[in-house]
Amino acid sequence: MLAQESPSVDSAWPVTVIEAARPAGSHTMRELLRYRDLLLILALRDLQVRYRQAIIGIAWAVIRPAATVIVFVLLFGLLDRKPVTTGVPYAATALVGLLTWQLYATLLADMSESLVKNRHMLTKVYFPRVLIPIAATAVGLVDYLVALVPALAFLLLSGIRPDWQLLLTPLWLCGVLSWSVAGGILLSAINARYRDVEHVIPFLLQLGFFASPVVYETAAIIPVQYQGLYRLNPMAVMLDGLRWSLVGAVEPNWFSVWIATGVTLTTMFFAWRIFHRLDASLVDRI
Amino acid sequence: MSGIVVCTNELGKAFPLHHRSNSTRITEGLVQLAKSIWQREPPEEFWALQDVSLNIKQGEVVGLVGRNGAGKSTLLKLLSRILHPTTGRIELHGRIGSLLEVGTGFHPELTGRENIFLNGAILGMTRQEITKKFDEIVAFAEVDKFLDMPVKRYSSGMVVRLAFSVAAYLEPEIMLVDEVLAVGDVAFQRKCLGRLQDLSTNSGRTVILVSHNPSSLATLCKRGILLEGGRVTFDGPIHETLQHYKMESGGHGRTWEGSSGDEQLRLTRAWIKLKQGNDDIWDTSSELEVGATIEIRQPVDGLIFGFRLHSDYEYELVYSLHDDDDPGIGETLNPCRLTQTWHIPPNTLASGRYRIAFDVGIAFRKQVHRQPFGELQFELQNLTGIGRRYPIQSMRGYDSLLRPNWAAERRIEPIFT
Repeated sequence: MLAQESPSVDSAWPVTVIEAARPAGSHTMRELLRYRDLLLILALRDLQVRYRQAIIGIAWAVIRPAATVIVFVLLFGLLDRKPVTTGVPYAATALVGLLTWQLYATLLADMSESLVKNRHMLTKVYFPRVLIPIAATAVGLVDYLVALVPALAFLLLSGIRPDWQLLLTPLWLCGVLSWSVAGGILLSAINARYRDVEHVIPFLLQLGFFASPVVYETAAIIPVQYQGLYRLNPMAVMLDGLRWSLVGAVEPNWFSVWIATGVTLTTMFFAWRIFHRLDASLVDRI
Repeated sequence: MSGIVVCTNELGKAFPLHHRSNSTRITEGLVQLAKSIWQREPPEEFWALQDVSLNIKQGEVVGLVGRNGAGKSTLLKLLSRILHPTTGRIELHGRIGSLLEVGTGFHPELTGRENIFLNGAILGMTRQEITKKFDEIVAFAEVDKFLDMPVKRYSSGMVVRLAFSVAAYLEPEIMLVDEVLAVGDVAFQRKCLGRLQDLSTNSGRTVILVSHNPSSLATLCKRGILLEGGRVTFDGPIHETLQHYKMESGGHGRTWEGSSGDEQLRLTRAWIKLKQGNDDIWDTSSELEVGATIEIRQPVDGLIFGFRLHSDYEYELVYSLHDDDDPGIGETLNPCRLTQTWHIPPNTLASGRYRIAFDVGIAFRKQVHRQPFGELQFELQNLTGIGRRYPIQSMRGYDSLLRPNWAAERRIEPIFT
């Protein structure tokens, strides 16, 4: 039974160097890729809890946006005003906006509390910690996809026949996702370090809800001279774009699309850096 | 043939002591930041580990010893990357598997099967790699019947067994084991030690082990590292390390007084004495009395109260509990002061030096007191000349220190040629 494997230091073994001066976990893409199965398992674990009773899980994903849409349809109906530009039914506009906002809010909330929620794991085993907030996106994403099916059916029933711009839908969704993940990664680390941040997040989301074209269209409400400023918010641009693709609202301002992309990428870069800077001292304090 | 797989260079870890700089509120954090601009005072720090420079070769089994708070666990956490060092550098060749606490990385809601995959994935393994080892893991842990049951319904022994099997069979190149095996039963502990031995000799894996059990360290490790106050004070053959540790742990006598434990249970007194006779003559034919007092401050279910008798060679000879004679599980004990004595009959132990270590805890729950080298120490001499008089080092049986009076009948017959 002696020496089945030759006992020499295998050059294929990964070499890890940890230096005090360097912030922890500046992971290479290759290292993160090695952990893809863990990411999958972590995500599935959250989904299992959420969709343990599939019917309730699906119903919850659908009812929440549907109920909110009804509330806003009634509200604007009573006000006798429709915050839309074209002849699109308001319910369709509101549905697309609310559903996507819900994705954003869920991702941000789930990600920001993910590290704190999983602290029993963080203090006892090691793996790239950024996997935890990333895996926390699973529930929000699946909820969104589940709700998208009846939502698209509703859009078709409302007589909306999408044009070629439907093909750009994944682009806008990708934008929403990147913007959410950037914010989520940043907030998860800050929230783990400063626990009182979690009280501020719902408040910020509330403000964001009205500061973004969720239940209205930008062009219908925001005065033209402020629209440039308004569109510095990437979420506003993505929602406008998504509406253009799905319900055929006004075409988004392409210049602001580029700005939104820049803002998102910059935020992502800094979120990643700040996360790993905080990561080094996270377990000392969590 | 053996390269260095773990290399640390002036490794240190400091934890902030200053209460406010450790605040978890951003508002206080901002106030702190503002203050630090006005008055520059260095933050108070506690150095859990300092100037640790080690080279560990492939296939070595290294025992880390030291008192509580000496920095053993901090070192393991730094090596396993859970904590980030404050100073210095670590270089690791190969994957690190760690078993730092019971149920580490286990999710209570998931089944045993799912948890095996979760733990493998935490080690950075792919599904296929885990599937290959799956049957071995299950067989070693002896949990095949409970595979599809959520881990929260496992007994703590089962959790330890599963955790150890996963870590040991996924064969990381470097394995870190903290004092976790103490929870499992003795048979399984032995099996684990065997597996660790196997990993190092047959597969060339490196094992770094923290244990408070000197006898398992002495059998498993060749090299020992002694930590004191966050620094390495000795690094060498395990027996020498244990000798150093023993000296550091302070002298022992035949009585011990103190107060060790938690708010529920405390050991306050322990002694060994001659049942009768002259206190100066400790002979193998003397009857000995071992006793201890504990304070039960809150009701206790499943009290563990007893002692281990160790030989001078770190072998555990006897483990005796207060309720060894009782059938079933003991009743709930209400707050009281409990004193228990044990008698060691004459002509039981051979001449030599012994140590007694008391164990106080609650079954399957916690251990409130443990002093690795024991509270008591005594020496027996063979003055009466009964029994084995002259220990012969090269002979087998020298270490068999029990010498019961089992010789029964003697018959003498002449030989006719």
